[in-house]
Parts: sequence; structure tokens; C-alpha cells
Amino acid sequence: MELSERHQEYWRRNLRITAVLLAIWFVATFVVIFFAPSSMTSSSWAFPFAFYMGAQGSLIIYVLIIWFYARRMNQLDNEYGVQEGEEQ
Amino acid sequence: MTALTQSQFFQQLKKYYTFYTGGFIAFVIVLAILEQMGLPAKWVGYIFLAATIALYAGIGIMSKTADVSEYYVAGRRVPAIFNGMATGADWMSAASFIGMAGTLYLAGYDGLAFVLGWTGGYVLVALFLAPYLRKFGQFTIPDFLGSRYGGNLPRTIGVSPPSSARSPTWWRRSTASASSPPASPAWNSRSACSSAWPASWCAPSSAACAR
Repeated sequence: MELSERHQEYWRRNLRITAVLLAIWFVATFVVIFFAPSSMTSSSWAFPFAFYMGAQGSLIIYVLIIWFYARRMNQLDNEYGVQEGEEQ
Repeated sequence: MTALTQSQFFQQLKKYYTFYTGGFIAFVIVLAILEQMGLPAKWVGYIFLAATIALYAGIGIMSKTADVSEYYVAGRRVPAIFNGMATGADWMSAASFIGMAGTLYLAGYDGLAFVLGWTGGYVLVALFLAPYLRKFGQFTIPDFLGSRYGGNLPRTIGVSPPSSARSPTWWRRSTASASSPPASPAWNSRSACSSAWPASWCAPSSAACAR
């Protein structure tokens, strides 16, 4: 199959969505963990933020990322006519 | 099987799932009643084990097929909501409930690496593997890597990560100061199955309880 200009555009938008979501994933996972020791020992944090993120906060973000990605890619597939339809 | 349309298939799946859920609830209630009537916990465990195996065998016979695509991915027709339920059920395993409780108790903050890894891994699968696995028409990740990059090396890499990625030592080191494991862990798997609980709740997930 030959890749048209439209296919290229679809792929660029796909990559952009993936990159943004991956950046959010990285912050929710590794940045939070990296600052965990300091955030738990310093007295300015009344709430154990790093612990909460590891146990629940990051997981909620993960689920939202997956939900958003699936929804957005479905929209994109429909917009560019590459969806897997019932009739296709 | 192949003559069904998507909506008929969906209706049929709904019927099966409702039947299965109702059957499971009835089964648990019957076992609880039997236990109250004096059925030994050992037998409750055996019945649970036998019923589970019989159920799987029944499903296997009911949906037997010679088609590879039907066999691995049910013809790729299972609706997202049912696939999501299956994924959720996978997550909520004995390892999650019993293993994670013990791991978190022992390791403290470090134990959260498993919680993060299990769900965080889904993000990587959703963004990088699942859509392309489907578009490439493959069934397993090694198959996909093999057809995408060619050759046996990517295929081998696809098989090996689970064993090498299990133990993030650099992460453990960087957070070691943040956690303080309890001095004497008195937790054991039997305490989760104290007499206050119906033994049938514990039996399928932990063989130690059935004995």
C-alpha cells in the first residue's frame, strides 16, 4: 500500500499523542519516585505524597492515559478513514 | 460460529457472561451452605478445584476451533468492554491480593514498584505494542517483534524481558533510605484464612489454605 500525504499526517499526529502521553507517564512514574526520598523526609510535606502516588495516584493517571489514548486514536482513525468498521 | 454478525456475537457473549456470573455466585452460596452444614474445609477446597477445572474444560469443548485466529484471539471480535473485564480479572489475581499485601508489608515503599510496574506497564503496552500487534495481525509480542524488525534476535528479546526487568536494583538503591521494613514480619498466608472466613473464599487462590 502506498502512503499518501494523509497517511503521513495521521502518523505524525499519532506520534505526537504518544509522545505527550509518554511524557505524562514518565513524570507520574520516574520523576515522582526520584523525588520520593526527599519529599518524605522534609517536614514541609504533611501528606505522604510519594507514597500516595505509588499506591494510587500514578495508577489513576495510568488508567486515564490509556482511556484517553484509546478514545483519541478511535477519533483519529475515523477522521482519516482507517478504522476497523463493521462493514469494512 | 462464523455466520454470526457482530451484534449477535455480542448478545451471545452477554448471555454467557451473565450465566457464568450467576452460576459462580450460586456455586459460592451452595458451598457456604454446605460448609455451615459441616462439610470439611478440605472438601470445599477439592470441590472448588474440580469445579474450576471442569468449567475450563467445558468452555474449551464449547468453543473448540481449528482456526488459528479463532483460537488465539476469538477472531478479533471480542468487544472492548469484555476484553477490559478480562484484563481487570487478570490484574485482580491471587498475586495481587495475597502476594502484594505481604510484599508491601515487608518492603514498604519499595514494594510499590510492583504496583507501579503492573499498571504502568499497561501504558507501555497500550501505547507501543497493542495497536501495532493488532495491525500487524500477530498474536504474541515475540511474533510481532519478529515480523516488525525481522530475524530471531528481536524475537528472543521479546521473550526475555520479564525475567530481567523484575528487579529494578537502581531504583531500590535510590529509595532505600525512605523505607524502614518492620523488624519481625509475623505475617503468613494462613492468617488470611482464619476461621472467621468461609474457607471457600480462600481455597481457589491459595493451595495452602485447602490443606
